[in-house]
Amino acid sequence: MLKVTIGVALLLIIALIGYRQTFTRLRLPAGARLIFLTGTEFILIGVALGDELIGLLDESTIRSLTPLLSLGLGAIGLIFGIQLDLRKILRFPSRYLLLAAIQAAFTMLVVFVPFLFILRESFGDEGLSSLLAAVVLAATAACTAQTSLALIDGEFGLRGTGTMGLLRYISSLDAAVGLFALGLAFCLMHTQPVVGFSVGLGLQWFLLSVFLGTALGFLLQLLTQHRCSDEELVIFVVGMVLFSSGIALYLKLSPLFINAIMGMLVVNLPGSRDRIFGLVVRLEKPFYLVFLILAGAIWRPGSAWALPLAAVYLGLRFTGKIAGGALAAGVATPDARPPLGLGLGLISQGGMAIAMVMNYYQLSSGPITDVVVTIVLIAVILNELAGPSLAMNLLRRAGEIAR
Amino acid sequence: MSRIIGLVLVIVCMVLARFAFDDAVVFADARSTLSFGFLLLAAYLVGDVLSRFKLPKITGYILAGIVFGPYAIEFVSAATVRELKLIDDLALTFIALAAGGELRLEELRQRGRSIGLTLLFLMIFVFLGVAAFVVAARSLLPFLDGASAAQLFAVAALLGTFALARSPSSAIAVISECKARGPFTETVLGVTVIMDLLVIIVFAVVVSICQALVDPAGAMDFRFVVVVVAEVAGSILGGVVLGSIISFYVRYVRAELLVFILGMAFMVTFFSRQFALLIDELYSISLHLEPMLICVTAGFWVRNFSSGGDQFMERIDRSSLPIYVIFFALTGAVLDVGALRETWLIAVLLVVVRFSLIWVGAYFGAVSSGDPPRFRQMSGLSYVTQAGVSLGLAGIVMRRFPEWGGPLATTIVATIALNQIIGPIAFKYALNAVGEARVRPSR
Repeated sequence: MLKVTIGVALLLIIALIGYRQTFTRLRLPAGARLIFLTGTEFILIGVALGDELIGLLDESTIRSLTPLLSLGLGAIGLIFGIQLDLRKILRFPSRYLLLAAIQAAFTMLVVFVPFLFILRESFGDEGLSSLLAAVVLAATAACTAQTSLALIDGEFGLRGTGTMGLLRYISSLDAAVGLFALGLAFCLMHTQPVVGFSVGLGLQWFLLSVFLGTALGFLLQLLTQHRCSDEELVIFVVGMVLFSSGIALYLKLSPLFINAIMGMLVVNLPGSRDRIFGLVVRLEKPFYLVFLILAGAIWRPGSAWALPLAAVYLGLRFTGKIAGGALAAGVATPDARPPLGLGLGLISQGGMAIAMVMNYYQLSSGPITDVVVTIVLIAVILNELAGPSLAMNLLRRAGEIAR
Repeated sequence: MSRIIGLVLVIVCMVLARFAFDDAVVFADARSTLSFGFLLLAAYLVGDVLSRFKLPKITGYILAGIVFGPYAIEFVSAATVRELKLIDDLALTFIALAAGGELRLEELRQRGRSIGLTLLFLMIFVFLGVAAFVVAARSLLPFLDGASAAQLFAVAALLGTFALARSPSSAIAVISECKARGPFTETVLGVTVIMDLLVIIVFAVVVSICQALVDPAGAMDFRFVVVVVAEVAGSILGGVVLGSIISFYVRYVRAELLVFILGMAFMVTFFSRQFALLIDELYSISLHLEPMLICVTAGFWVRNFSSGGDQFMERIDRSSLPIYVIFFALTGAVLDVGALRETWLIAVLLVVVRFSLIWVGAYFGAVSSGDPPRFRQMSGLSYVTQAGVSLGLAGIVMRRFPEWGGPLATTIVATIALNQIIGPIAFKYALNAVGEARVRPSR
C-alpha cells in the first residue's frame, strides 16, 4: 500500500513538473515536450491509476467521482460556449465562418459514413448504438485543439495574423458543428429504448436542451449580475455548471451542449461576462487536468478491433481535414483564398474531443462504447503529437515562419 | 433580492428535474451530480440570506442540508448522500489542511498556557458535570429503566465524553468566514484541534472501562486503547510525511497546486479508508479519524516548517468557499432530525447543561491564564459545535453496547444536531465581541 502511495505521488509530481517546465518554456527534449505539451501524461497517469493497472481509481471510486467528471465536462462545455462571443466572431469576415463550417461538416461526413458501415458490420445493429457511436466519432473528428496553435503563435510572434489567424479562428469554432450534432444525436436517440425511434419526440428533447441551456444561462446571469466577490463568483459558476450538468445527465442529455449554450448566453449578455470569462480561464487548467486523469482511468481497451479501427479513424479524419480544408479553400473568394493544405494546421484534436467521448461514455455502455473511447483517446494522443509539426509545416510553406 | 429569486428558481428547477419526468426517461446515476450542484447553490444562497440577519453562513449551509436532505423534504436522498461520501471526505481533508495551516507555532507558544489550562478545565467541568447530570436525570432516558448501577455509570461516562467533542471543521469555517485573526482565535483553534485528539483517546479508555463494567465476565480491553493510541500516533507521523511532500512541492514545483492538493487529498482519503476497514475488521473499531488528523498535521507542518506556508494557505483559502458549502450542507443532510423529535427533551437539557459547563470551564481556563476580561466572557461561546468525529463515535457506541447503544446514539445525534446549529452562531458572536473578526485582509 505504501509503495502504491509513493508511486502515485511521484507520478503526479513528475506530471506536474513536466507540465510546468513546458509552459514556462524551459527546454525539455522534443519528445518529452510534446508529451507534456498535450497533457498526454495526465491521461497516462489516469490509465496507470485505473482498473487496468494499479486499481486506485476503480469502477466504484470513479462512480463516486461522477460529479467531478461531470463538472469537468460541463466546464469544458461552458468554456467553449464562452468563446462564442458574437462581438469577437463578427470581427472576422463572415466567409471565415463558412470555411470553418464547411471543413468541420466535411470531416464529419468522411468519418461518419464509413464508420456507420464498419460498426454495423463489426458489432451488429444493436438498436441504434452503431449510429450513435458513428455520430460520436464524427463529432470528435470535427474538433481542433487550440493549445498547440496558440503556442506556435506565441513562440514565433505571429500575433494571429494570416494563415495562423485563420487556423486559430477555425479551431475556435469547428467543434460547434460536432457539438451540435452530438447534442442532437443524444436527443434523437433519447426516446429509442422507451418509445422506439421518434424524430418528433427527439426534436422535443432537443428543444428542451436548448431551453435548459438558455434558462440556466439566465439564472447564472441573475446570480452574478450584482457585485459579488471572487469567491461567490466561483460558487455560482461551479454550482451552475454542476447543476446544469446534473440536470442534463439526469435527463440523458448532453451536459457539454447545455453548458455551451449557457456559456454562449452569458458571454453575449451584459453583466459579469468579463469576470466570468476571467474566472473560467483561471479554472480551465485544473479542471482539464483532473478531467484528463479521470478520462484515462475509465479507459478500457475494449475488443481487439479497437487498434485497427483507431488507425482507420486517424486516416479518415486526416483525409477529412485535408479535403475539408481544400474544399473550404476552393469555395473562398480568390482574393482571400487560404492555402490548399489548410487542413494540415487543423490536425491537433484536443480536449473537446475527449469531453465528447466521455459524455458518450457516461450515457452509454457496452463493448461498442469501450471501442469508441479507445479509438478517440488513441487518436487524440497521436494527433496531438503530430499536429504541431504539421501546422508548422503548413506555416513554413505559407511563408509565415522561417524554414 | 436577486439572491432570493435565484434560490427560488434553483428550487423550482430541482423540483421540475426530479419530479416532472418519468423514471423511464431519466438516468438515475446522475442524481449525485444533480444533488451536488443543487446543494452547492441552494446551501450558499440560504447561507447568504441568513447572513443578512447576522447569522453565520455555515448555519445556513447546515440548515439547507437538513431541509433538503433525506430526513426532511428529500430533494437529496439518503442514497445520494452516501454516493457523495467520497466528495465529503475530500472536502474534509481540505478543511483539515486549512485548520492545520491556521495554527502558527509562534502564536501557539505564546498562547500555550491559555490553551493548556482551558483544555484542563473544560475536560474536568464538562466531563464530570455532564456525567453527574445524566445520573441525576436518568428518569428522562427511557432505556435506563431498570438499568444496573454499572450501566448507569457507563451511559453517564459516555455522554460525558461526547460532551467534550467539538468540531474543528466548523471552527475553521467560521474563522474563515469572519476572516478572524488574533490571540483569541488562535487559542480557540488550538483548544479545538487538541481536544478533538484527546477526545478520541479518552473515548477509547472510557469504552474499555465501560465494557468491563457492563459485562460481568468482562475485563479491560487494553487492546482497544493501544490500537487507538497507535492510530493517533501513526496519523500524526503520516501527517508529517504528507506535510513534507507538500512543502517540497510548494517550494520546487508550484504549478497547479490545487490539482496536486486534490491528488494528495484523494490518496489520504483512499488509504485512510483502507486502513480503517482493516482496523475495523481486526479490532471492530472504526474511528475515521485519520484523514482529519493527518491533514491537520500536514497543514501545520507546511505552515510552520516550510518556506511556502503563505502561498499554500493563500491557495487553500482561495478555493475554500465551495468546499465549506458542500461539506456543511452534507453535514446537515446526515443529521437525523427525526432523532430530535424522539428525544427532544433530554437533548435540549443536555445541550443547555453542556453549554453552561463549557462556559464555566472556559471562564476558569481564561482567568487562570490571565486572559483579558472580554476573552473570559466570550471563550465559552467558542466550543459548542460538534460534528464528524462525534457522529463516528456514536456509531461505535451502537455496536459496542447493543443493548442500549442504539437509543443512546439517537440521543447523541439529537444533541449534535442542536449544537451544530447553535455553535457557529455563538462562535461568530464571540469573534465579533472580542474584535478579532475582519482582521485578516480579504484575499
